[in-house]
Amino acid sequence: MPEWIEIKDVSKKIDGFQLGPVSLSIEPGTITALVGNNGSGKSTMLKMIMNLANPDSGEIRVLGKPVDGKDESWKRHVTFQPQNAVGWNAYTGEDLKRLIAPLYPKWDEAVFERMISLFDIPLNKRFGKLSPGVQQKLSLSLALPRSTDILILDEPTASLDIPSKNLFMDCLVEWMEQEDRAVILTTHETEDIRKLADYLFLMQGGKPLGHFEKDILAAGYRRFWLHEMPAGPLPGELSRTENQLVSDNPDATERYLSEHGSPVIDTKALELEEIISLLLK
Amino acid sequence: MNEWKQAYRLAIFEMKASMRSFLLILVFYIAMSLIFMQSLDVHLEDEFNFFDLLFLLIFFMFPVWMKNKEFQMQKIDGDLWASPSIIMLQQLPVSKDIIVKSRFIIHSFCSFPFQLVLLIAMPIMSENFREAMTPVAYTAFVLIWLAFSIAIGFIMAASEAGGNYKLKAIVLSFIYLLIGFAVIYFLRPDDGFLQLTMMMAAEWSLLSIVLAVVVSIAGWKYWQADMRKMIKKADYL
Repeated sequence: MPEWIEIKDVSKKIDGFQLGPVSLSIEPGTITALVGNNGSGKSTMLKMIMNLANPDSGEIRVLGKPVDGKDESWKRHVTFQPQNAVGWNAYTGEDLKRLIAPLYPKWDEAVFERMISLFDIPLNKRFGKLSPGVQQKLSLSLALPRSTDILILDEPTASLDIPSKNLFMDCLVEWMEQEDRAVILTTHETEDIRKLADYLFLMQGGKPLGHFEKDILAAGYRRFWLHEMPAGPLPGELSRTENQLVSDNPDATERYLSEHGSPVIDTKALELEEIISLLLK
Repeated sequence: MNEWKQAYRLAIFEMKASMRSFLLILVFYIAMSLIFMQSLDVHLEDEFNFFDLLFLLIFFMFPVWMKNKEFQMQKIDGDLWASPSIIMLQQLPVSKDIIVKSRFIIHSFCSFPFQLVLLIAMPIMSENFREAMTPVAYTAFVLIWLAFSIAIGFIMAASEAGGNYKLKAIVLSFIYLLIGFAVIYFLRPDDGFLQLTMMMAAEWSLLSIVLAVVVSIAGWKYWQADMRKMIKKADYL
């Protein structure tokens, strides 16, 4: 399948912070979560995809077109929702819809109206006068109806209350099911990753740690409870306490334990949050 | 042409969002300027030399201050300075060319009507001015000042593209600006810029008209190209 977003060896230095080199491909029909510590360069990556910042080296293509090229038609196929909407404060929700809707040929008015009613957003108030949570709800309600092939969301649920978070996730899942679409989102919320993501792209201090399929990643880490902890290091061993051992190669660990006659009391897959914490340690 | 149409739609959109405050400021600035223009006769009798510099300030800076502060160039984050609209529009399927054109349309709305009021007020408010100008000379005079408005004033429109500026660079640019004003003040002709352009318009009307048109077209194209370049270069992080 051809990649819809292709990032090749992209790097950028910002005030002593070195981002990359990063390479990443996004395929249609997938949701990829960019996950990393604060300041790991996730938002900068998204802005470089949108050509809001220039990489020092490397290349970014969206739907086969270089984002810094003369042909900017790729933008019609991409929705970008930044962490903070800049330039929206003077407009009401109604104004923003009138500005944004005509720019997208597949604007879905029914989705917009449904989200406005679900989130109970006042459309006659200026964006700058809304609370951060309502601002985020309005931004999301103006994002999904654009019905673009690619949706890029920077921390979409950061200011949302729990019911709104769940509502949004339902809307996003439904939106994904309608057509072949691709979503990239940055998030610190494990719930978002667990419910939405197919792939995780982990970043730390500007460097990529890896691109993982979520289910394979989740199955790759296990905690073992043992009667007696063997003295030497075990295959796959990541950490150990008195009678608990965490492994990133459970099959090899289990085989070793069985071959050396160390009975296992219990095993359990690690929560995604624990795995991410281990990887970002 | 289609690009200008789209740019116009975006420009009108922004103007509508701040129309009430824009009109209030416009009326206030016109009133202030007309009170100030009452001293044009005194200046033309060589008794108020500072008039010249005040006129330049009003002519070039009032249009910039007329824009709603939400849309003016401002610090966005860290070292990033830009007009918020530039960032907003770049996140939408709007080409850089259309963004640039829309900013120029907005600056035209803010500058030309106000500047025309100033220029039209001159023959109405000053007998000395009326005596010095024939209709052709006056046309040349108006075109000269509109050319200045484009060639100099539109720097402000182009600069809305912004960029990443350290505090040192901002302080330095203010110092350069002050030096620039000082240089203009000390190097200005004895009778001042206004009288110099009146003289040019009266003595070489046709040449002034041709030059004004050429400078206007060149300025209009140059600052648009410059703004496009600045948008491409800036990191809106």
